[in-house]
Order: sequence, then C-alpha cells, then structure tokens
Amino acid sequence: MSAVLERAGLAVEGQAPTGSEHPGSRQTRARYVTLALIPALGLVMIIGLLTGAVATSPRDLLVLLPGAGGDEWTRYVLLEVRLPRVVLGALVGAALGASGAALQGLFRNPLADPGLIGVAAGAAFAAVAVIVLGGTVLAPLVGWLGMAALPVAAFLGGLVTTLLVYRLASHQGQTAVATLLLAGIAINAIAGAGTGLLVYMADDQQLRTLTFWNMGSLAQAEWASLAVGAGLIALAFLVLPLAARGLNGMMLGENVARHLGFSVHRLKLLVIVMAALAVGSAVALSGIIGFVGLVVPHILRMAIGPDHRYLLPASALGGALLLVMADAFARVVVAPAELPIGLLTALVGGPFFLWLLLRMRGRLG
Amino acid sequence: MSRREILRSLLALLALPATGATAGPPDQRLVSIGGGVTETIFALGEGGRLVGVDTTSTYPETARALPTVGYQHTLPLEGIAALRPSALLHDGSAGPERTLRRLERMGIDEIVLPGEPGFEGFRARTLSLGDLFGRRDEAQKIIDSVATELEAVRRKTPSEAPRAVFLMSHGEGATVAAGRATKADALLQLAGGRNVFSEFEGYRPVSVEALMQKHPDAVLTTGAAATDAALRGVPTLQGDTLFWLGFGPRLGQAVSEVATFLQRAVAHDTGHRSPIA
Repeated sequence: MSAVLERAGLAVEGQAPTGSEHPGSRQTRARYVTLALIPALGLVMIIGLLTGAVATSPRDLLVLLPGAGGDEWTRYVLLEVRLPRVVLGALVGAALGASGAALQGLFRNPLADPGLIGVAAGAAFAAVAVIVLGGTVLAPLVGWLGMAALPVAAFLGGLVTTLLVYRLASHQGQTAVATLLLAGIAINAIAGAGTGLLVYMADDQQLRTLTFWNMGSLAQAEWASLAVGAGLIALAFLVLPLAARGLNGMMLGENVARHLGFSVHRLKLLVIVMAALAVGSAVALSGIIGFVGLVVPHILRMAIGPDHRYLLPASALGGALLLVMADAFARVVVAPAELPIGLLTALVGGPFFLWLLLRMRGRLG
Repeated sequence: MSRREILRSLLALLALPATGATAGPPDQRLVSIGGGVTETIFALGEGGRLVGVDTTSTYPETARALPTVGYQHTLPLEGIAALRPSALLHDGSAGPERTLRRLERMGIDEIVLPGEPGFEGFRARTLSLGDLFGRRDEAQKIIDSVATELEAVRRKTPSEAPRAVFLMSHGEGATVAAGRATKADALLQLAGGRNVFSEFEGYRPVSVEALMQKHPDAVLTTGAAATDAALRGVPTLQGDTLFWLGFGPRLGQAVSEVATFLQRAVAHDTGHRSPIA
C-alpha cells in the first residue's frame, strides 16, 4: 500500500516506514489512538477549567453539578469565565485541526495549512470589513444577519480565498507545492493589505475591537457569541466525515479516485465549503490562530497513517487538545496579564514548519 | 467566605462611586488603567489602594511594583477578577468593552473619569479623583500648581508659534504623527507651539515627504519613533510618553520642558533655514 502511495508521489512524508506493517494492525492502532484522544481531551479540558489567575481547587468543580451550592464567585469564574473559554478553545482547535487535515488531503500536500495558504487571512479580512463598514456600506447585510453577520462574512471570505488558492495551485488535478505556497503568500499579502486599509479607515472605537484579530485570542469567549459560531462549526464536523473515503481515494491521484467511483468534483466542493465554514467560523470567534491546522494533522498522520476516516476525527480532537492546553498556558504564564494565544501557537508551529520544509527540501526542487 | 458575606462586600463596593465626596471604605481595592490616572492617584496619596495597573502606568517607581494587567485595550477578564478589585478606574481608554461589562457583572465597578485632552481634561480628571477619595483639597493643590507653571510658560511664549511635529512609535517600526484632538496636540499648544498636522484627527502614519513639506521648526518624538535622516537638520527632542502625554501632576513640568525646547529650536533656526526648508 505505502509503496503504491510513494510511487504516486503523495503526501506521505509524515508516515513512519511501514513496509513490514500489516495494514490491519495500522487500522487498529488508528482506532485506538483516535479513541484515546477523547479521554485525553476531557482531561485537558478539566485542567483548563482549573487553570487561571483566580485560585481554584479540584473540589470547586463540584459547582458544575446541577443543584450544587458553593460560593457565587467561584461558580461565576468557572461557569461564565473559564468554561466558555475552554469550550471555545476546543471548538476552534477542532475546527482548525479537522479543516487542516481535510485541506491537506484535498491539496494532497502536507503544507496546506489554513493560515499559510491564506484562508484564515481571507476570513479575517471579511470579518474586519463587517466591523469597519458595518455601519455604512455593509449596513443592509449586518441588519439582515444580525449577530451571524460576522461568522457568515468570515465564512464567505474563507470560501473565496480557498477557491482562489485551489484554482491557482491546481493544474490538471495536480497541486504544485511551490505554487501553492507562493499563492498563499500572495493571498496573505492581499488580504493583509485589505485588512490594513480597513484598519486605516477605522475609528478609534473600531480599532480597539480589531486589536485581537492580528494575534488571535480566546479571551472574548461568552456563551451568547459562542452559540452562533458553534452551530456553524458543528455543521462542518457533521459533513466532513462524509468526505473521508473520497479523500483516501484522492491520495491515489484524481484519476484513480474517479475510477474508484468517487465524484471528484463534488468531493472537492464539499471539502472546500466545509473547510471554509470551519475556518471562517473559527476566525470569527477567535481571530487568526496559526499553525494548529498544520502541526496537528501532521503529527497524527505520523502516528496513525493517512486514512482520513481516522485522521479527520483525530485531527479535530488533537487540535482541540492543543489549543485548550496552549490557552491554559497563555492565561497563567504572565498572570494577571495574558499572552496572545496566536503568539504561542506560532512559537511552537514556526519551528515545526521549518523542520517540515527541511525534510521536504529534496522534493520541493 | 459564605455567599452572604460575598454579596454584602460586593454591595458595599458597588456603593463606592455613589458615595462621592466622602472617603472610600478602607477595603477599597482599585485597578488603575492609564499612566496619567495612576500617577494622579499616587500624587493624591492614595496609591496604597491600587492592587493592579496597566502597562502604561510606569510612574512613580512604586507603581511599577504593582501587578500589571497588560495592555489597556485588551484587558484580561480573569486576570483582573483574580486581583479582587472593588473597581476599575480609567479615563475612557480601557477595553474591550465586553470585558468591562462582564467585570461589572462580577461586582467590579467601572469608574470612568473625564478623558478629554488638554488642561480642562486634566482639571476635570484630577477633581473627579479628588472627589472619589475625599481629597478635594489635595486635588485642587495639584491643579493650582500645574496652572501656575502653565501661566509662567504662557508669559514667556513668543508671539509667533513655532511649527512643531509630534511623532510617536506605534508598534513595530511604524511611526505616526499626532493630528487634531490628541493629547500630543494639546501639549504642543500649551507649550506655545503649533501642530503642523492639524488637517486630520488622531494619529496617522505620515510620509517623510509630507513631513518635509510642512517645514517644521521642531520635532518631538517618543519611544523608538525614529526621525528620518532628511529631518536631521531640524531640532529634535526625544521624551517619555507618560511624562509628556500623561496629563497628570507633572503636566506643568512637561509643558515647560517642551516650551523651552521649542523656543530654543526657533532661536537656533533664525540665522539659516534648515536644509529641508
């Protein structure tokens, strides 16, 4: 199997050498790793709940139980401050992880990160446009969509950029790494310039709401705003698994996938729309948080192989785990102040990306 | 702490701003946002009530020892809550707005002080703080001493106002110029200068050419704001953002420093125009 993949020139860099391994045993491992990630995420979320500037003890978690007494202050801190934040971290991390895995499958390239190829920047541009122009040019849209205007705009921004990158980087079913990354640079630059222009037009008040888009932040987590974005992300989670088998087929090349009976065109559309939906909603909720969509699927592909039936849910779980953990760290390391979370993920993800590039240097040519 | 105890203490703290002129309760714990506000609180002798400040609160030295809650526009909800303050004080510069609303829901009051630039803003802000702590006399003393210094500067001001630019470092390497309705503009005016960038409001990035075309007599810069080589012939004074723009008790000193510099810059300039003119 892996020999076939190698010959097809596929995105299997992350794999351990598996020549002697029986495909069945790898599938068993993939299943176990994916299942093990569920309690691991639960544990990290509990740690996240217990971490923060306000001192809390594990016993305080009892206030989460219905009907439990306990002190009002602790209850507020846990239920209204930390829990929405942990849930937001998990949602955004899962959205970035899963869409990263899906996009890498679609582009058949492990460097297709929503941040690197410009999807997040496009989504952020659209969201910033809604904030700055919401009172003037875009007023009808904002009036019609209300609170959903921001996530919907971010989704559309992400969708347009994903389609654009795909058009630019794919030629006759092949995606050239160099073209993909260069297109990503160009799109990041254009979206960044557009955002910069809007920032220049923004008044002081709007400028303050914009601060967090640059670095990414989970600090604005609130149940009310969470609900809208969570619905959109959940939709992507429900639909993306339908693409798993198709993405597996795509690994063998577009033509092979077509011969295997997959509707390649529909598959591409499905993945692009759902990835844009997940990334767009994540950006609307938390700004641009880079590298999660790159690092997480890659590590998991090394651990469990490229089967998307496991890779997609495992990447969602892994992304959630990473972001919840990073945010817990960001909240306490300079307490009572906070580090921007995008800074932390870039700090970890940047070197990882360089390492990936080094490994791939031979192929990039 | 029992629930009732907490509610009672929260209620007591909520009543704080309403009590106005009377001295605050002894357990009053405050977080101050904005270097000028913090400085004034210390000058009023109430620095002991502060349990946290933002990154711009760097004077007096004792303020630096307090826990810092970060950048004023991205205040952390739980970080501030953990300090268990009764109220958060600022002059309109604190944010994000939603975080302030949620802090209020946690029983942490928001006290907004007058934030207008200029002497009037300084006066109103200092008086509000004096009222808040029941130290009206001390507040008035601070205002009087600043007013005296400003009057002394005004008497020495030449009839023709020097043309001045105020440059500020805005993040990494980006230099912006102060326009109308800014504290920098107010500082220049108080020092007898005229801001050459009066056509826009707030702070904007400006090109070297735009700067040259304005033929400034003097340039003021803060932090790492770099003046281009093309402006080398123009007298430049580098200063501390908080000292110049805090509009607190040291306002008189700041204005007199800037006024002296502006006058010297013009005197130096009379013989020959600077290379860019």
